[in-house]
Amino acid sequence: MARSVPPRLKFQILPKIRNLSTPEGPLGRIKQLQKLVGAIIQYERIESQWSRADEARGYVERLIQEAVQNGPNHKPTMELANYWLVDKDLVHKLFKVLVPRFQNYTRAYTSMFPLPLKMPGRVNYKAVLELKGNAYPHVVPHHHDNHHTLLNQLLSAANDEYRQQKLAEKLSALNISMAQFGDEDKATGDAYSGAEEDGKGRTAADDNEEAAGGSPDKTTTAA
Amino acid sequence: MAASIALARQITRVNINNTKICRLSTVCTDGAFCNASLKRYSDVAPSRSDPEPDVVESHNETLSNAQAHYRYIFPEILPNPDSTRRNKVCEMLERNDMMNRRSVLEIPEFYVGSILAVTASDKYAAGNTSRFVGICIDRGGCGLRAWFILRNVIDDQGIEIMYEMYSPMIREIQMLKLEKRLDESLLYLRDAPNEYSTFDFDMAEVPHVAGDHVPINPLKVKLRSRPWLERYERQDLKGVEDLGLAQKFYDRAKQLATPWEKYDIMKQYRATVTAEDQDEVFRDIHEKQQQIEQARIVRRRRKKLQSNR
Amino acid sequence: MTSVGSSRALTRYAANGSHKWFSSQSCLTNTEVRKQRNKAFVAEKKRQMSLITRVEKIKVEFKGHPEDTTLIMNRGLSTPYNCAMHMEELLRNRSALALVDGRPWDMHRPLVKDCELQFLHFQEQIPYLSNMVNKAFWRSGSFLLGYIMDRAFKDQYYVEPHSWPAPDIRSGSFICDIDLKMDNWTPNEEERNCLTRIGYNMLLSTSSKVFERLEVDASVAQDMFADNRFKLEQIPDIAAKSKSQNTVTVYKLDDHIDISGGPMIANSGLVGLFAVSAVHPIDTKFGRLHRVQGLALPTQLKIRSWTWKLLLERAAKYNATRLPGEVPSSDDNISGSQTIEQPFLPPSGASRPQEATT
Repeated sequence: MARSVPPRLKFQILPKIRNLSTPEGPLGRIKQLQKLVGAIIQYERIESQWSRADEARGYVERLIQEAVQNGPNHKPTMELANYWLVDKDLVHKLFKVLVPRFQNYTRAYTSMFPLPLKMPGRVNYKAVLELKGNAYPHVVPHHHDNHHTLLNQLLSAANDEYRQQKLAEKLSALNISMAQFGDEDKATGDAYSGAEEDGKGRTAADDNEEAAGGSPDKTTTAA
Repeated sequence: MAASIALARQITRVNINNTKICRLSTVCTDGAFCNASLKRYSDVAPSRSDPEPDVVESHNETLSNAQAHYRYIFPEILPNPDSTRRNKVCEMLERNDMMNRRSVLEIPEFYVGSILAVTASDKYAAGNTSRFVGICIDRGGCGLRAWFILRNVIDDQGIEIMYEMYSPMIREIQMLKLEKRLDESLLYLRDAPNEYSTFDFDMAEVPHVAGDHVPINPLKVKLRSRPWLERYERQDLKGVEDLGLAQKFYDRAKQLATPWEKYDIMKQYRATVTAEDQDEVFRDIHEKQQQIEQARIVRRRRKKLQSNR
Repeated sequence: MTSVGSSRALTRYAANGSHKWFSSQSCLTNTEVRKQRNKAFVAEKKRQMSLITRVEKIKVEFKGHPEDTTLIMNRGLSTPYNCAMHMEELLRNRSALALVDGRPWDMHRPLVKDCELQFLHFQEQIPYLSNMVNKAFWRSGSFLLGYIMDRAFKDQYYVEPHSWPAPDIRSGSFICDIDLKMDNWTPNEEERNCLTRIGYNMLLSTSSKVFERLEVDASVAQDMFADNRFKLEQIPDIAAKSKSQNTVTVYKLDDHIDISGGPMIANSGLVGLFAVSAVHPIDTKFGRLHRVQGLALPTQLKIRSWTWKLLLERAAKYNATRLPGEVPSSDDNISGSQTIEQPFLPPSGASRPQEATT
């Protein structure tokens, strides 16, 4: 009984398999991978050597791909799941939990992160491999917020101005004056003119603040 | 046996020296042939006669039914699955060349086990062409380098010719009998009695209705006793009768078997052209292929009318 | 050329209300004035340093990368920059501004009491900190424009910087309003490039120049800026609004001195790309002035040439931020000296709603 043509995997794979070092040879490699695949399906996030995690990642992705594509009623797929998942509870998890979760995914089902090297010591590249959509906190906790750097402030202001200009052009084509539009807009709260109002308000306030800074005693007493 | 091989070698040399067909292809006989073949028939690519009904349509809904069959009709149109050897521009140029060649030469759908007749240019032969009939025992290669091997026995001498499918020296490829055998490679016919690979050069064409399932010939071959060219007991062949070996051979074969490869999904994946790549190729050639099909139908009809007159 | 003394006498006379001095402008040259001002600055700094007779120790608690530490520093002598020197090269190189007890503080301004210390750079994650550094950078840009215009012209053109408005980054350019005494002059592209190059000559000089800060008495300031009729007018106002009712904050970069509330960035090495984008003549109640506009980016921020060009085009447009003498009578670099004394209020505070993220 044959399986269908697999879709492309959504992450970079090596052109050849890795021979993971094991005394048992190719079968030992498969056994190692069985353990890893089971662990990923069970715990959804594991830490391992980079090479092993990367190797196991392909198998997990393919297994989920097959499961999502064919469902539990497809005999070869069930055979596959049965072979790779030694703990049979995980077969249920694959089809009942993971397949619904990954049904509409268009990207890879897993993600992998390198772990820092422990220095000094033997060079041992480690990685964290996880299923997407798990319940744990993000591996990379902090996303840099660059919105307020000087450059991005300049660019966003330039963008605002450009949009404002475009809007004005459009309105002039429709013979509506900007002021008129602005008045109506205060009620509706349009994004463009809102931003403009905001910008103006800010600069004026800034000036006042810097200027009013001249009377620090006032501010302190007020505070 | 040893004597027969020696004789075969001698005759091979004679063949090569006398007929010079080797420019077009490799001529070989029992024991003299060796070619590393690029196989692309994995578990993943199902055969067209597979009894499972959802095979074709399940792999991609976007692909039309006609396009889905291209995978079996001309597998060599798909690129090399080895990602390190891919070159998109080269593939595209080759594809164009292949379709151009197919528009002048009718290359029929065939499988390992089908019986073909190939007419090729041969300036030393009478009429500058030579025709060879034989069973296809293997095929492989991708792009313009696709090849197949025909085997026949002539005057008790096994003859094999490897043809390059898109060689400009091929004049005609005629399908005599479209069928499959139980195995994907019939190289074991070299170690089978001659009657299994003897085909009449004047064999009549067995009609096959286009679109029908390709029949599978369930013939099981009884091999000669050892020595063989290969250790067939290790190959899990379906088309041979009991090999009649001592138990130690089977034990060793069992030791060396790799049953887990059936489940090695990444190994299979690396040996397969993915659905996206395949669709891209098929969409590319679809229009041209339709034109070729139309031209072929017209040609056939005209031929039929002429023969009726 | 008449002696400097006589020119100063003339200006004093001018400051009393009469504008007759204007005719004698040939006596005043930018170089002479600069030299005189520098002399006064150095003398005043020396005087102030001589007041510190005993070295007293203060405890500075540093918070942040690489680790929280406590440093024992010298009161009135050690600056945040000195603290950074004790810790990490990165801090020394990239810090633009210090945060002392939550208030912005110049990197080269001596610490005066036990305090908590933090360093800010141009890629701060927290919006109000980022805003603080950006404003300091913009202010320094305005200062730099004054520096350039001061030495761009030949001796017969006497340049008098007026002031600059509060830094507004979203306006696209920083500004310096200057009296160039050339009514309708606007630079062509070549001249603009020349102006930019003067800036780069300073920025790319082997040793990066430090922004020195000095708080001086109004009388000293008046002496220092005796040759600038605008500043002379502004000084009493600024002094009156200061905490001690009598001090003016003065900054010095290389040999250019100007009044500003600050804070400024640490040194000129932090400025990466720089350009004088436009000079527009403006009419104010002080007469015809020139609004010099510029654009700069810190070395820490990388930009593609295409984007830089885009920003430069925008910076060349006339920047209509408050003109000198408009709404509030005092300007940023006049009144700003006291902003630093203001207690710092985080963005949640009601008094700084404009800081809130958009």
